[in-house]
Amino acid sequence: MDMIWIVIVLFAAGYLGSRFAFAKERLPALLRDTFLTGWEFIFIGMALGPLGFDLIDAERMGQLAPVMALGLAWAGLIFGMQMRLVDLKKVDRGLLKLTFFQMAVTGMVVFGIYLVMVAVGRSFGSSGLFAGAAVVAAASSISSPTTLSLIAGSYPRTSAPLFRKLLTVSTLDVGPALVAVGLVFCLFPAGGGGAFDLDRGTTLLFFSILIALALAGLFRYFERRQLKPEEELTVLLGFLALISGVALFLKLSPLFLALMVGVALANTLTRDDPVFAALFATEKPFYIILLILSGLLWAPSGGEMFAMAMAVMLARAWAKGVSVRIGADLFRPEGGMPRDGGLGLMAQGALALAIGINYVIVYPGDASRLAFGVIAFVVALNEIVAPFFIRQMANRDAASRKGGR
Amino acid sequence: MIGSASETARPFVLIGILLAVTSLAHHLGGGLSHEFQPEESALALGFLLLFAFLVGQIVRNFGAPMITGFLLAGILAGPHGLGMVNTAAVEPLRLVNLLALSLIAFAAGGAMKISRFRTRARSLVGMALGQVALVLPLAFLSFLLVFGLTGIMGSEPAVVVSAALLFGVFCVTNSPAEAIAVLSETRAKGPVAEAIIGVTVLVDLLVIFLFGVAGAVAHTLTGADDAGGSGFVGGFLYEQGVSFLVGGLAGMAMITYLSRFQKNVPLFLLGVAMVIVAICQKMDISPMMMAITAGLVVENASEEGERFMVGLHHSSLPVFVIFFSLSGHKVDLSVMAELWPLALLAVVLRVAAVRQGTLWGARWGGEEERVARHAWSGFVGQAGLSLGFAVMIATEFPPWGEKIATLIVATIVINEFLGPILMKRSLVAAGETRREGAADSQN
Repeated sequence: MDMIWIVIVLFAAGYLGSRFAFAKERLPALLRDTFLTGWEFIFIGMALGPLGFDLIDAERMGQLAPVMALGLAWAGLIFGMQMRLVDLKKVDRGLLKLTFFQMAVTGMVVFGIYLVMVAVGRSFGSSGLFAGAAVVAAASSISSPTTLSLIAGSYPRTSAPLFRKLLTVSTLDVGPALVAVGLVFCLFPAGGGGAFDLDRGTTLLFFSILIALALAGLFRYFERRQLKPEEELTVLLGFLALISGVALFLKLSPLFLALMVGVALANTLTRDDPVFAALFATEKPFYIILLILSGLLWAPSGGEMFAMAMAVMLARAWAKGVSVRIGADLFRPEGGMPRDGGLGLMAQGALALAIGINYVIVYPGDASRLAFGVIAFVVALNEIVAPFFIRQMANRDAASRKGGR
Repeated sequence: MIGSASETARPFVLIGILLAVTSLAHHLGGGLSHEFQPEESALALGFLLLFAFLVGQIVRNFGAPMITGFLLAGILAGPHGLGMVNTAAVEPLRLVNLLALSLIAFAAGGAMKISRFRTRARSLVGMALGQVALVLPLAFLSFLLVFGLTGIMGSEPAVVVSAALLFGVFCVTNSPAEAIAVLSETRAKGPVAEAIIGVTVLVDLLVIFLFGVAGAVAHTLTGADDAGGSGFVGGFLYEQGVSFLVGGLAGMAMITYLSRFQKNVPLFLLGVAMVIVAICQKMDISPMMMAITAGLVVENASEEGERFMVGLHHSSLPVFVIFFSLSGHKVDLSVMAELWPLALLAVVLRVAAVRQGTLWGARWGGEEERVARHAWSGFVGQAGLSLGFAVMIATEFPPWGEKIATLIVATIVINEFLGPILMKRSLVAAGETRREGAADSQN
């Protein structure tokens, strides 16, 4: 398929998909929950790509790297721009500690399991091994607020505090994961063959921060309030392309660079800045495009990939469950947290996929293909089961509150 | 008009930061390669969008239109300037050129409200024919003399006549791209703006026909291929005919969408422009003709013209920035250094002939003297279609066609800069630009 048709198909699917993916109210409950977050678009991507009809072959996928990087920069920016220090200070300390605790425990458990499995089953060398395990762990440690917010609406107001807490946890645990990915990309520089290099890693990290601050300053100083809407759009597009271009050129993580720029902007721009509305207005189409790209990138990497994915999924579910239970006892967040609160954090969402895509485009090869296959499969499975787990947890919580009364 | 000191300095500071960040990235990444690398294209896209926009803001502060800045930014960023963007990196971005041409042609077609133009049909046709009748013979005869005396096209009379004829037709072309971009930036409305867009489109339609005829004559005179002139004309007419028909169908499809959906019109139009480019690449037909027809159909066969034009206005700026900065990037300053005396001669002759031809045509058509006095400057700029001609001439008539193509490009470069500046000045002088109009009313 010609490049222009690929771009047309992707954007048309993103635009149309965003209209239908989240409008399933008329479907029966079981079907609606199964397809709640639009994960079926991963399979549409698979059907178009090398695993399906091969309409978009591997060579074309390579040429799509700048488009993917643009999407990643957008995802990193949109997340970073939610990280206002003023708002973070308002979050209950106990909940904040619980958030990072469950994220760290889950990350470490998955890191260990994946490392052992790959060390036994494959011979990738130390860089592919560690970087791959770290990326899978980072993607597994995060949770998605999208599923939670879609389900929260169907519960009475009495469940709102529980959903609010879970939404806070699932929004905040993404930050450290993206930072971890950024550090891995600096310390295992793809430009130097992917081997661990502390000197180059430190240099790249220093300059990443410097470039991110300079880019944030550039955007901040643009005086966009005097611009017409079409000029504002031009600046935003150019800015996103520049972030993704710099990251790709230096073989860094566009997610990480954009995250840092986003955090800097979130804490210097006013809340009513039009860039917030412009970014959030495109959230759904970009989400669908990321799902399709994930399906496209999903190349066959051996049958053991499915076994690894199942192991990672189980390890993740166990770690989330146990860490939330222990964290709730240790840190005692305000208003408490149900013992099975970890069930509410099963969904992973588009950012987990974005982490995987990031790895594939910067480190093409067998190690990244395997890691991405595992991430994508686990995300798809979790998106299917998460709504049922969330409902189970919320129903139990409601019942226990009734019983307590 | 120049604003406050800090406002004027701001784009310079931003350019400084942008250059520092991009240079640092180049340095850390080991410099730019000379082969196509996807990551360099992504970096080039981001850099060009912001750099060209900022240079556009600077020239706007000095009263020139932004597209002059976009062109200048392309030259400055390219290998003959700061070397921030290399040729291999911008190759994939050339797709944006076709997209831009489609959007420009949409706007050109959409600006042709037949009911509105009917009352002025005689004057518009008069101005268009006046230009053709004066520019073509004058350019043909002058360059017949120049080519004959200098011998740069060789000594064969058939080649000299063919070269002068093709160059004469090139001199007639206008630039809907520049006209639409300047009108879009200044949001100009009024009889001068209407005359500029109407005559520009009419002249370009005439030129498409004239180029077919001139190409056929050149083929016959020089015996450039077996099929001869008839094959050239036949292919040309087929291409334009099919483009016209498919464009009509695309216009009907757009009306169907616009009449049913209110949201996301800019995104939809961008999508349609991409589909048009893809169809034209597949069928080997003209995206210009197809999109002009589609725009014409939407404007004249439905009530959706206003929403169509507003949607276009909102979606086209990023595409224009890339289109014009890439045009600037393509300028080869070494060629300019070699051919500037001939190119300058062509520009001077052409400007004089366009001005006089427009005035005569307007007088014949009963147009107000004031309109013609301002409108002629809108016909100086040259870009998309003329560049397309240069490529076709170089391909169809080697080796002398390549020399003509080089001269054409050198002439376009000067006109690309001169045209928008003259046009904006005239629109301001005619009191048709929105910003200046508002300022005037406050005064």
